[in-house]
Amino acid sequence: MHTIILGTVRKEIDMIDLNTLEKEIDELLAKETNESLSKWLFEKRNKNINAILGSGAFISVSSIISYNFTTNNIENTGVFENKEEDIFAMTNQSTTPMAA
Amino acid sequence: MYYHTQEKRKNRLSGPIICTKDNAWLGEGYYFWVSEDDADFWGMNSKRKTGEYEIYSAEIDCSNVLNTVFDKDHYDFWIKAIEKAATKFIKSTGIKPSLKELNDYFKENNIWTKLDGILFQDISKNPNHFLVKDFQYKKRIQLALYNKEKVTNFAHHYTGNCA
Repeated sequence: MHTIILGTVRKEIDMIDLNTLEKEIDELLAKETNESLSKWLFEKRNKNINAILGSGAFISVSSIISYNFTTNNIENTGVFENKEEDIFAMTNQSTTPMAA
Repeated sequence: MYYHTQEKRKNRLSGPIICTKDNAWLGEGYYFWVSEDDADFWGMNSKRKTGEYEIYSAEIDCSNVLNTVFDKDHYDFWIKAIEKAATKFIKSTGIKPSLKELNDYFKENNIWTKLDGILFQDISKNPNHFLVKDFQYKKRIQLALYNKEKVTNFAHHYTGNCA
């Protein structure tokens, strides 16, 4: 803190105390461990991903997919049954111009 | 006088907008340019969302700003602080932190909160900035202000078209 006297008015000006700041930095860094800094950096870099994923444990895909799954088990409703004449009809009804 | 550049918005700004982007290299803060030329170049090239940019002028009380540009003691302190912290991060994590990460670290741990901001320089990319061939003699100086209370007379200066 520096003091300037202007006439009869004493004005205190806040100056940055570099020595105190440097001591605080040294104390801060001395307290940090490998774990604390790694955690800080990881959370800093992954905050966007964590915001999307939310909190909670990751679970294995194999725990939710059955190994008995096959396409044969899916009922055929005929919706996706593309016969040759259907494919021809679809392509010839297209209005998208062909590239030259 | 300092200059704040933003894309042109529907309403005129009544105060500066805080920058929280990952490329805010001096950490989260209100960014100002010292040179009107730099503010204008930034607007033309980097504030293109609406096709126009606005420059605002402001007076800023920098008595509690870390002046790494013109004050040697402040510059020496800043270099020491950054290098001590970076060394600790590298030793502890094996990873080099970015400048933004270090500045955020100091703010979150109430070191930089004792400052109103940091004045820093780098080099301009503006090809019209220099009258001397092949030599960048001007500093490109930015102020990252952490304390918005130090801004007075914030006013619209002009509107420009993006490049």
